[in-house]
Amino acid sequence: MLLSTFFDTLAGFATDPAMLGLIAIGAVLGLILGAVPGISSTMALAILMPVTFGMEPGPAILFLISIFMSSVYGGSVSAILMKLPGTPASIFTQVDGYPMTQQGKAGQALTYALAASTIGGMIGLAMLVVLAPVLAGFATNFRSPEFAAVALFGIVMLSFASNGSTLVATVMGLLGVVLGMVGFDSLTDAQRLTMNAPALQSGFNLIPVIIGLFGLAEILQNLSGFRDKPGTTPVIGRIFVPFSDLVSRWKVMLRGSFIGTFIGAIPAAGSAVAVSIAYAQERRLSKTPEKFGEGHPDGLVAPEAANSASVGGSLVPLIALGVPGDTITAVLMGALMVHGLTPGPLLFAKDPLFVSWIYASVLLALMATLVFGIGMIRVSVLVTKIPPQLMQVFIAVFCVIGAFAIRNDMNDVYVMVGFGVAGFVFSRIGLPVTPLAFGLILGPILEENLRRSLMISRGSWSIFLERPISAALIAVCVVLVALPLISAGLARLRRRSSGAAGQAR
Amino acid sequence: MKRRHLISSALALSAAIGLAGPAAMAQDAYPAEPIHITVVWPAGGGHDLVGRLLGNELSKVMDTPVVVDNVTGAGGTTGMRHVADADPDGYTIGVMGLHAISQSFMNANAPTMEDVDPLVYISDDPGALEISADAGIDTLEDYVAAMKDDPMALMNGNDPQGGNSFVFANVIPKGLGIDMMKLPYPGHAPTVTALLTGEVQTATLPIPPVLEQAKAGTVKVLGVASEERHPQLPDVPTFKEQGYDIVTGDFVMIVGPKGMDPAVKKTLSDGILAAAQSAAFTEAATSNGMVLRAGGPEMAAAELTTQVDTVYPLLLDAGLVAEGLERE
Amino acid sequence: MQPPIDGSTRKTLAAGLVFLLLCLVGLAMLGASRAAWQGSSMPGDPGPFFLIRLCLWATGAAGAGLLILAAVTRGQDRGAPRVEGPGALALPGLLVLSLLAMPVLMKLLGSAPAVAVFATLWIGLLAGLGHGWQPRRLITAPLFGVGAGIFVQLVFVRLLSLPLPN
Repeated sequence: MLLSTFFDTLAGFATDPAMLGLIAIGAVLGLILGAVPGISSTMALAILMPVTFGMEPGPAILFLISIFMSSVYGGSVSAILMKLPGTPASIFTQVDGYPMTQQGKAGQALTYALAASTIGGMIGLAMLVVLAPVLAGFATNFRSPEFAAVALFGIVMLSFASNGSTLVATVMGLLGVVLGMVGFDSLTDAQRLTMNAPALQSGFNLIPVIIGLFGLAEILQNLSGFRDKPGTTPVIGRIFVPFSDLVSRWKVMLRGSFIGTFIGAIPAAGSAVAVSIAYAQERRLSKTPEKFGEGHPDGLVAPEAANSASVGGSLVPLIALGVPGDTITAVLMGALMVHGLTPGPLLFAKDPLFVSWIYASVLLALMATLVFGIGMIRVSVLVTKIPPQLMQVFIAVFCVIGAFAIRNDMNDVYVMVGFGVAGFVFSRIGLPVTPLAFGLILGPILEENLRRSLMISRGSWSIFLERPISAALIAVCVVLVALPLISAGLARLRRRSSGAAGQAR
Repeated sequence: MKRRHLISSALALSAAIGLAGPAAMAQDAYPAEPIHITVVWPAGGGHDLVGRLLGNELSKVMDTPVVVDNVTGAGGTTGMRHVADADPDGYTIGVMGLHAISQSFMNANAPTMEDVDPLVYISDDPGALEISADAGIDTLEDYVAAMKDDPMALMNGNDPQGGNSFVFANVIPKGLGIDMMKLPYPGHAPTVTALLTGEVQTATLPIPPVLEQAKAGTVKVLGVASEERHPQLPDVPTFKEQGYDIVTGDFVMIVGPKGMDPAVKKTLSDGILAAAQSAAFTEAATSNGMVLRAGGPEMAAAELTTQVDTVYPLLLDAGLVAEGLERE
Repeated sequence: MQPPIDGSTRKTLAAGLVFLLLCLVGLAMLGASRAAWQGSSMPGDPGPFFLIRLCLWATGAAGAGLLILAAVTRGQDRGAPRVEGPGALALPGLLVLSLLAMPVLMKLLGSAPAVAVFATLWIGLLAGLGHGWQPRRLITAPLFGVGAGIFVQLVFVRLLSLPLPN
């Protein structure tokens, strides 16, 4: 019944020029705002929300969802072209996207990102439509011990997410966890590592940190070699990717999309966790993990698919339970409340029309993003033609404004510069910075839920093993950690015995 | 008819983008610039909603653009500092609640209540006690009996120390004569989620975040801590009706920095009051569970004093008042 | 045996020192935070400082381990050490200093003029260093600088209404 309502609504939207116009405007605005460094999807929605005050609820939802979906891809554009992730969800997009730009493959990187984003969004939506009640049931099984286990799983995965020594990557991740805990404790309100300084009391927001670690550090790196090599613009190679190359990555897209949808459906986990796990998983499965971080399309496709699919996932708690799953859906819910439409647990039964409205809006918004996204690729590739001396100064300006804009706090500019220096120093002495960002995302989730679980169990750590999902996740973590050790041990044993056997042979 | 939507939204858009914006306005007449409403919590929350709805009406009343700035961090302190330190020119105001009072005693960097100027009182936000439908308890009486039997039987979800539902979680059990196991969650939405997943059985949230759940019956409100019943839940009795003298609540008010020109302050507070009493704001706010009780600067100042006097002993009692911030 | 970081003893040594330093600084700051905290934690809660301390200890241990590895594997540097002139850090250092001055500059001049000044100076400097100090090239710097300022004013201040200082 819901499906037929869905198709009716879809047909209604698709044949109404006014609605199509709204979708187009929303998609273009979302793409542009998302692509401006420092404007996150959350801000794009918040900025444009008042525009919808005068509209009827239906068009308003359509318009807002259109902005939301297109800004998710838009955020990847600045990550790929300038190494400036505009949203937390595009942290991993720059890891392989920016090297592609340096190699003159900016257009291809954008094409991969757009294709993965569209496919991911479709799969996320399909799973939302078909499986929302199931996913909601899955999500309600997640209590504090499960959240803690997911975060631990993510931290274990991070050792697979970067090149070089696993030990060093893990320690960088732990440092990220420490950084994530600076500021007020979310459970006791204790101040931690703040030294009573307002800048530290605010805690480290992810955006200024990653703008510094990736964007500014890159400029500092370029400037230190400026005397010898003032920088050259890369030759723009072919802009679009052969269709067969896209199709051949269907497995990567599928895996990323499933991870994105499931993680997105867990309240509070959010798209940033989804992309990090998708990236780590893809690198772990890859036959050429050493190419990740140097412009491997798989390293771009997996997190992009997960990012877009997590939108479908994050709508699950909103639609099925009436609670926002992450900050972006919280803004969306706020906007719906302005229009007198509060999602609640009875939404499915009470207002199927409204639910199918949301579904149809997501689908059309994805199509509009695809259409306008393709159009935008040719234009945005021109950015790489700007001489590097100019570009670096412009990026430095964007770093300042973007760091400020996320919380409207000048202290975040100092934080951004500090992490820029740290990123520069770390990369000089060969320490990977991506795990640091990883730890910063996962640390607060791990700590808060670990401690809350222990409060529930009155200090007994067995609570993590008593619940099936958390026990399973912890078992996977143990296996993942133990496997390399065991296989190394086995290899050593085999070498010893084959040494003896080899002589016999 | 639908075409009209498109045109009107296109107009609204261009207005928002500033194409049709008022470029040349007299410099001496207030307001000549956009008014910025500071919200100290992230976009999407209750205060954000108040800021945006009120801002929309205020821009009509004052005939100037109104912008909402989410200045977040440090439990709301960064944003309150932003308001208190702003030029008192009438272009920066902030949405404030109980959190600012708590922080002013808990954090030496937070502005005190003497550093801000109350402009307009918007609404009461009474505390309440909710229980998950799965817990199988329907009345306050049964709940009190169960808790007296075994204080560990039902766990309560609330804010970290200093947040409004933490204050409620201290006041309500005291009034009921029970002990409560308090589990902290960072914010109202995670608390509601915990209530739905069954990690906690009760919560001491104010009404707006649980309104839809209460209407749907997945969450049952056992009592409201106000003098009168909540307008959106007329069937739910107050604690007083059930024989417990518990009245506690958060509030929403608009404040500005100290030292505004009296004429500017008058224009501004009159404008905000008119916006808060406008039909559009009243309707939207009421349907989202706010209990509106708009009043001008004098009332706001009086209410603020009362709230400080109520909250301070609670914080002192819980050992949350930081060294050097004690009142004489 | 090979040094764990890029096969370089010097990098391993530096990383070990950085980890140890961060551990010590972190523990010192943590000590101050613990001393300043007067609240109490819930029964069962290992407390607000538990996980930080655990991570810092692990960082310190890893740092010590890296130092030992660096000592064991010394003299095994792969490839020639990178030769850097003393000027290699001058430009990055200058950029960091000027970025740190930006918030103050923005408050003094307003955001758009501050951006214009910053961009003009840097574009001029980089053009001069890169292509020689020809007046013809340098003349474009103020153009682009003012352009950046106008962009910030139009997009961030007018369009997006960010509360940037003005």
